[in-house]
Amino acid sequence: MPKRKLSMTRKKMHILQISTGWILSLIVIIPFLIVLFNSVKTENESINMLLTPPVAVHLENFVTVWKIGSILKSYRNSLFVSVTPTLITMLSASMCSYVLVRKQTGINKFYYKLFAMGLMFPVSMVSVVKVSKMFGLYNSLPGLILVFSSLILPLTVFLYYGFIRAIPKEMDEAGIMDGANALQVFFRILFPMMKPVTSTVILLNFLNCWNDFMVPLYLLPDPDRSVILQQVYNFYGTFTASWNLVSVTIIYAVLPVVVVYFLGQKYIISGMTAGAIKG
Amino acid sequence: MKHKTIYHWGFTVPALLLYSALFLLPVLLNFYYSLTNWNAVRLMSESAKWVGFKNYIKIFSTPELSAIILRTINFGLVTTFFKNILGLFLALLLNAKIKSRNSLRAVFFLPSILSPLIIGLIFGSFFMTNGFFNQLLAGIGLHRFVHPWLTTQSTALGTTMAVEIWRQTGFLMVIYLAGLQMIDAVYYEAADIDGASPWQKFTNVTLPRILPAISVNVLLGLAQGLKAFVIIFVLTNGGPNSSTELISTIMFHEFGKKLYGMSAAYGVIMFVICAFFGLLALKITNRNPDA
Repeated sequence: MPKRKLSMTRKKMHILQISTGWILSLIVIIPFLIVLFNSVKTENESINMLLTPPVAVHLENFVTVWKIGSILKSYRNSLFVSVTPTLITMLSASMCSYVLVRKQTGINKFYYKLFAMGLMFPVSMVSVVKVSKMFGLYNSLPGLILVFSSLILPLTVFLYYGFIRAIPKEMDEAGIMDGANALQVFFRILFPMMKPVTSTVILLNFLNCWNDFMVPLYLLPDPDRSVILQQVYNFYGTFTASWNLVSVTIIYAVLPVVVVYFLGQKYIISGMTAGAIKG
Repeated sequence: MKHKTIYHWGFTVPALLLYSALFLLPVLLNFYYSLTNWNAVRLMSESAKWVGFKNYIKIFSTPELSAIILRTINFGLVTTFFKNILGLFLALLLNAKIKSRNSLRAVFFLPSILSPLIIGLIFGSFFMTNGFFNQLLAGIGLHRFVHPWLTTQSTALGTTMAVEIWRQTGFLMVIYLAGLQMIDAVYYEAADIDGASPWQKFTNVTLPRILPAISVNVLLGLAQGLKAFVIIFVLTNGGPNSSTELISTIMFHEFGKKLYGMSAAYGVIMFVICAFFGLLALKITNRNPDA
C-alpha cells in the first residue's frame, strides 16, 4: 500500500474515532445539562425536565433552596461524617497495615485475610443497626462516623498494605539506629513516605462517605441530623413537582464532589484502579 | 530486642477493634438472627425466638420471594456483562492516540464518582412520561415506544439496569485503560509482521493480555450489581408490582416492616451469592496469559 493512502485512511480513522467519542459522550453529558438548565428555570418551565435552555436565568432558586433546604446545616453534617471517618481510618489503617506487612506471622496473615474479605462481602444493615443500638451509637453522628470508618477500612488497609510492601525495610532500621522508638519510626519516617497512597485514601474515603446514602438511611432517621443526601431526598419527597428546586439541591450535593474530583483526579483514578475490587 | 518492639502489636489494635465491632460482629450476628423470628411487630417488645430454618423455608417456598433471588442474580449478571463490553469498547476507543482523549476520559468517568442517589433522581425525571427520553423518542418518530419506562412492569427492570450500566461503565473503562497501557507494543509489531488483521490482533494479543483487568472488572461488576441498592431504591423502590424488587431492597422493606429476622435471612442469602459468584469469577478469569 502506498504511504500516502495509508496516512489518509489513518486520518479518516482518527476523525471517526474522535467523533464517535464525542457523540457517545453526549449520553453522559445530556443528563447533567438537563439538571443545569432546569436549576435556573421556573417551576412551570421545569415540569418535564427537558433539555430546552431556560427562557430567563432564575438564580434566586439557589437562594430559596439554600434557605428552605437548610443546606448549610446538612453541609456541616456531611462534612463532619465524611472527614472524621477519613482521618480515623487513615491513621488506624496505616498503622495496622504497617505491622501486618512487616511482621508476617500466622495471625497477622489471618487478619489481613479478614480485611480482604470485607472487599467483596456485603454487611447486612439490619445487624449493623442492632449492633449500633448495643453500643449506643444508633441515630447519632458519632455512630454514623464509626460505622463509616469500619466500612471503609477494608479498602484502606488493602491500599496501604500494597504500598508499604514496596518500602524497603532498611528505612525502618535506619530509624532504630537513630534511637527512635516504634511510634517515632512510624510517624517520622514511614508515614511521610506514604504520602501518595495517603492522598488517594483521603480522597476516595471522603467521596465514599459523602456519597453514601444507604447507611444514613438505616442508621440516622433523625431529620435534624440529616446529611446532605438525605436532605436532597427529603426535599425531593416534599417538592416532587418542583424539579427546578430539586435540580438545585442536586447541584448543591454534587458541587463538593466535583471540586474534589477535579483537584485530585490523578489520585482518585489511581486509587480506584488499584483498589478496584472493592468498588 | 528493639527489632521486636518496633513493630508493636498495639498498632493493629484500633483498626482491628473497629473492624471487629462494626463489621465482623454484624456479619456473624446476622447468621444467628436469620435463624430467629426477631421482630418488633408488637409495640413495646422486641422478641427474637429461635425458629431454625423457618425464614429460609418461607423464602424458598414462596415463588414471589425466590423470584427476588433470581432477579438479583439476573441484575448482577446482565449489568456486569454490559458494563464490561461497553467499558472495554470505550477503553479501546480512548486508548488510541486521538485528540481530546483526556477530556473524554474525564467525562465518561464522572458518573462513577457521583452518588447513586443523585443519579437515580436525575434518571427518574429522565424517564418520566413527559420526560426527556420520551420526548426524544417522539421527536425521532418512535411514538409507539413512548410510555412511562420506570412504572411499566415490562420495562422497569431493564431501565434500572440501563441506569446502573450508565453509572459504572466509565469506571470499568478506566481499569481497562490501565490494562491496555501495560501491553508491550512489541506484541503488536510481531502481529503486524505476521500480517494479522485488526480483529486477529484483538483476539490474539489484546484479550489474553488484559485478562487480569477482565478479572478485576468482572468481580467489580458483580460486587456492584449484586449489592445495588440505592439506585433501585430511588428509581422504582422495587415496584411496579415488585417487578424490580432485589434482595437489597426487600431487606430494607422487611426492615421497615420490623421483620428483622427475615431481613437478616435475605442478608445471608446475599452473602452466599456474593461468595459464590466472587469465587467463580476468580476461578474462571484468573489465568496467566503466558502459561
